[in-house]
Amino acid sequence: MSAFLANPNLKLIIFGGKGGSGKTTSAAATALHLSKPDPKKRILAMSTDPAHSLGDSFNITIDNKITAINENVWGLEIDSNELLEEYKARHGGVIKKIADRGTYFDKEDIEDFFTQSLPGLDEVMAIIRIADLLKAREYDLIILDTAPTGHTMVLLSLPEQMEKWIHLMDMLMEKHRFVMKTMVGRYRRDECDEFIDSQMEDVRRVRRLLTDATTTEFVPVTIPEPMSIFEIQKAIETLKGYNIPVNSIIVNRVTGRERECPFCSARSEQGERYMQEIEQKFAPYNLVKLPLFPHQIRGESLTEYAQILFEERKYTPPARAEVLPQVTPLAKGGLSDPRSESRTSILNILKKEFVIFGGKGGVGKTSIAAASALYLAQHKPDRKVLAFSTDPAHALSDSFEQHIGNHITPISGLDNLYALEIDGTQMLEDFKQDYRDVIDEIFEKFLGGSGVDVRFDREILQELLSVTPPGLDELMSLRKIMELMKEGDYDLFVLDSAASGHLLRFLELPHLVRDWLKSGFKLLTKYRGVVKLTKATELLLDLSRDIRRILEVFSNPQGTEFVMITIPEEMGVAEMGDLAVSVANLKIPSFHTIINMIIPPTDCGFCVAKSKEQQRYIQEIEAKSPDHAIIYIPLLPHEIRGLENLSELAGIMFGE
Amino acid sequence: MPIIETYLALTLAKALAEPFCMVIEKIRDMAEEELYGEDKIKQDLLELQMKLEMEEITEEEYMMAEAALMERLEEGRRRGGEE
Repeated sequence: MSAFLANPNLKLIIFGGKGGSGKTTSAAATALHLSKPDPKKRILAMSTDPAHSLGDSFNITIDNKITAINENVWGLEIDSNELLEEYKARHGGVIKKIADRGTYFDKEDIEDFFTQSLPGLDEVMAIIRIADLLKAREYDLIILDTAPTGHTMVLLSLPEQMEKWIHLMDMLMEKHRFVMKTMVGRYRRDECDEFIDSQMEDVRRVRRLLTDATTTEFVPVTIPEPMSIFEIQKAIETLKGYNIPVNSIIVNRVTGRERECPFCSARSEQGERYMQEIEQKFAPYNLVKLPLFPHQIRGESLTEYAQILFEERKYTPPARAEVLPQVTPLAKGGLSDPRSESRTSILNILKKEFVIFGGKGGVGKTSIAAASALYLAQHKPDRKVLAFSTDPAHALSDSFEQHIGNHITPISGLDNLYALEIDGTQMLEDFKQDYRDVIDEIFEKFLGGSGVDVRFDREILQELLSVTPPGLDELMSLRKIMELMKEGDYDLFVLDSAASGHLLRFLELPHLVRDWLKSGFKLLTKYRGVVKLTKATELLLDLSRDIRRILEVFSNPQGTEFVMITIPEEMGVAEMGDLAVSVANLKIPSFHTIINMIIPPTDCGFCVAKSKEQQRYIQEIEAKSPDHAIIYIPLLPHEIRGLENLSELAGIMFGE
Repeated sequence: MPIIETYLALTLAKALAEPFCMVIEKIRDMAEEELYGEDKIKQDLLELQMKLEMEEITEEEYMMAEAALMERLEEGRRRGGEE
């Protein structure tokens, strides 16, 4: 087994894993470390997570422009909307020309569609950006810091999907080529053909690179906790399917044998158990273990982290006295809650129709969502509660210790609690099945005639049905929620969302779909004399009304609440601020902030050091959320899994 | 023979007028179809609903236009029943 990232020919390193496992820290530290031996080697650390934290990690503002970190390391946090605008400015003309040639829409219609945004844009633009960077050959090594697992898997599957989209564009051109050949006798290639070829070549270059074991490596990052292990296990399986090479796995927050403090001891006992699981499950891989540090790893401390990562030095936990020689231990007796009314106030979520839990990856969204759903079901026996996960890397099954999957599953032991983990791909198939008649109508109306058009149009429509739209998981989750709301079987929906970046994309989606629908209606009214698509129109009208209803519910303080979850750490606090602003812009009511994983008072040096650091961030969170009731939840000495643990967590949260 | 002549003249007049009447009837049918045909009313209703969804008309304007369409639908059904 070779040492960690020992291959000197690597051109692409991707760090992936569950939120909060230390992906960004590992990516940043790796970039700095690999830049040292060869100052001529140009390294780009690039974040594809819409909620970026790479800049926070380097302690430098980066944003959507390539920013120097040192002499030969640069950072980039991509902004998909800005990139889309650049892309449109660069290639818009050609794309419009292809659409004009290959569809029945006129220039005005195409222009209208062109002003719209797209779901799933973050992943699409990330691939395009990577393709551009590879083409320019400016960097010898690209290091990717990715969004939490689910969306990273979407990202990696995308080049294959994008090849299909480009093929579809090529088919749109086929009719034009045929007509030209028939009329003029020959076809002369133009900028449209060039564009299609170059896009295909770019995407193929990314795909080739991803699957080239000599130049690419995916590094899963985990911590010794069940959900994190489960996520990388699933990711490794998926990566095998794409032939993306994996050699090493980073295991962060490995605890030693602390026996002095009962709290640390309980946590490390649990950690050891999961460490054994990791060693068994991932035996064929090089396991790189990093300790739980008493301080955060940012800026200068990245060097220390990198030295341990690359096995240049061993980590020795500081002696108690070194950690914090003269500090007064915090008072014992549990966490005092300076705002006791907060607990009374959080009970208000019992009355809502929609409760959305959101925050950075790894802050405990799933546990809190599952615990809340359980509490709500137990305390409102007359209400039917559905816990619903929209993150493509689902964790509800793990929380409830029961297999859930793509079907509404009753949670054992309760008769009013159900759970669902959406599978976007499966739901797209169901959707196609459910709307067979609408699809048939479109086929029949467009392809009823005869001649050249029919052959090409049939092929194009068939191809269109076989491609997967971007943002599939979000779109299908939204569709399922609308369907369930319409059926009215459930009184309360508890949403366990994807990490903040993609949660925002999900919350923005109803607005985006509504804009697309408006464009669709404009076309249908414009061409009503030419083609009557009654069933399709009815379907779109239904969709539009459902979206309006969702937007009404989302913005109604009586109906919906967004509960912010954060942890007292720099990156948790930074992401929370960005998320809060976006939620307010979307007019989604939010009244509570949960600060999770607060170190309880002990007199252990390690805990005290951590706790002191946390106190600073707790104050910062309090200052940032003056209008919010704040709920303080301690870090529990054990994992939260199964109904008993969830009840305990709910008890703390709702003040029992 | 005046009777035969009259008969021939009338037959001729009828033969000439018939297509004209048929055209008139056809126009009337088409106008009625345009006004009271269920399929047409359905399409108009869909268009109206699309305008509401596009926020081109207000809820109030929609209600008024929808009521007018329903009236046309009923009138059409009544006429259909009378024939």
